[in-house]
Amino acid sequence: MFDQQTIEMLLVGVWDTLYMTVAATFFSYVFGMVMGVTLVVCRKDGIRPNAFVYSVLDVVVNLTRSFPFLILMIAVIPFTRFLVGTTIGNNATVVPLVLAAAPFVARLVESSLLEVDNGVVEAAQSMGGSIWQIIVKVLLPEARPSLINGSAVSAITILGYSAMSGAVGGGGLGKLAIMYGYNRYQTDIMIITVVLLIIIVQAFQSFGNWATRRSDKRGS
Amino acid sequence: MADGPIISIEGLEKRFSGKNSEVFALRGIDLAIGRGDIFGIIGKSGAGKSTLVRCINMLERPTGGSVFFEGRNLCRLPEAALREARRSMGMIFQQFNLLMQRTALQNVCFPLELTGAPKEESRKRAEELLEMVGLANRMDAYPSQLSGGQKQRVAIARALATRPRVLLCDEATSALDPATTDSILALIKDINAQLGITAVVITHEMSVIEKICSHVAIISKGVIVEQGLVEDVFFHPQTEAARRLVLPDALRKLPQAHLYRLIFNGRSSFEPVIANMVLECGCPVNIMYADTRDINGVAFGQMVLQLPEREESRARIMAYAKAHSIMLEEMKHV
Ligand SMILES: Nc1ncnc2c1ncn2[C@@H]1O[C@H](COP(=O)(O)OP(=O)(O)OP(=O)(O)O)[C@@H](O)[C@H]1O
Ligand SMILES: [Mg+2]
Repeated sequence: MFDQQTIEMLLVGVWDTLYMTVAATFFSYVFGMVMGVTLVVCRKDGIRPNAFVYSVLDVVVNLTRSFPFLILMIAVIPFTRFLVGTTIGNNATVVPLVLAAAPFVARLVESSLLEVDNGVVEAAQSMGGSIWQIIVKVLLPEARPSLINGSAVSAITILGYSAMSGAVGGGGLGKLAIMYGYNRYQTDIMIITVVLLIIIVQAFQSFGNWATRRSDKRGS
Repeated sequence: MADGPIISIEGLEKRFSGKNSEVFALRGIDLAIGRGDIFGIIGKSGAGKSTLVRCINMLERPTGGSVFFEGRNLCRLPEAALREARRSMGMIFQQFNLLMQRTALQNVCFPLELTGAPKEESRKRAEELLEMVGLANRMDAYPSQLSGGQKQRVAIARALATRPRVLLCDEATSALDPATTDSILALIKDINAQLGITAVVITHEMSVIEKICSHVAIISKGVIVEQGLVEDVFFHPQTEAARRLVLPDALRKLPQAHLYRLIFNGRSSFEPVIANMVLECGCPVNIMYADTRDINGVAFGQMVLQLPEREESRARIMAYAKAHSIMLEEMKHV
């Protein structure tokens, strides 16, 4: 159906998409996790309330989240160039992806941690647990299933952003879809890239569901 | 220090300030809890029981007064020293508050992990404790696989892991059925007797106090209205709040005139006492209510009688009671 070259191009597209998604998800979690934990710890009824830190972080997260991704991507071009030396290609795309996704991840982590029963946190405090111990030994492990589920949601969202980035210099399946489907009217290639995206999304979601279920010890 | 109270609370106050309102959850609380006591604190919902027990280990920061634990003022301790002190006070909760993603054994290891104890040692101690609470065969079960009573046993084992000298129990049996409640109370009593651990038992049920407590304090609207030995409070309730706890609610609907309360210890029984009294005094009495209670292992009976309208007959009955050392006292307002 397709020649060797097209197939190769599609495979490279899949690889680029996976690369950007996985790398951006990883780095989004590095920053998003810290922000999410900080939000939970510093909120009014948190374990170390701090109205100043909370509201600053809250505003930053909301601001970043209300930027449309494409605009953000273009707006941070100088920053991207400073960081990776170029503004096209996979690594360059990871930068705006992380900037856009980290606040999203922060909110997901925040809501996962808020699901942890406050009584369990109090029990740990009554045993003389420090803030750090409570974060590492209570909040994160107790929220583990929900965090895993959230990471699948994040990866899928980031995948969507990465496809969008194809419009302004990003690579991967998004670029192929736009280049062939939109610019050259090669509907067959566009359809196949969309199908590939759907398959990847499905795979992430199924894996996420499976891992969530497996890690949850709360029964049924 | 060894003879003084293990916990003493002086002028404790807790005020919750909202935007435009202030709630005094606790006011002027003075309590001394002796080493080895099982100290009950009873009161209605919203009376401030949880706030009080949470002030003892500073989960709630008092807004006034002091809490001394083994002679040290916890309100003044720096954070690290306070965490250290908390390890000497185990706490259990109505909702158990176990870590849901850890097995029973891992839950009991948890407080030891916090102290940085060696893994192997912690594990051994946790196994011993789970054996002691009767869960030797459920060590690898997750909380979701355990019954309420079993979960509370795990919580008790966990609270004892760091060898505390006090066990704080906030409504520890309120989520359990009567039979399970009794078994958990028996376990707390055992721990108190065998390990010499002082227990502070928060409850809204008089039966819990009667079954295991040596001392009781009654809290109402954030104030301690009465405290003392359980027997004393039971036999001679001084306040409205105490009377209400000792007697059932149903009595409040009875006619209020000429009601008297009669108390026996387990050695006598109701019928001959009443029968003889009626025969000797030549006037009938109306039995409104009777029950027996188990206070610290001794059965006590109480009965509410309505005595005749005639002043003279009542005086005769009172004289009879006095002569036979029967505890009979008029109930003013139930
Ligand atoms: N964080 C809080 N902010 C404001 N008010 C509070 C707070 N915690 C408790 N209170 C108030 O303090 C009072 C005492 O509450 P507390 O929880 O100690 O009662 P309790 O005796 O334990 O009741 P229950 O039997 O229902 O558990 C209540 O009036 C409650 O509304
Ligand atoms: Mg309470």
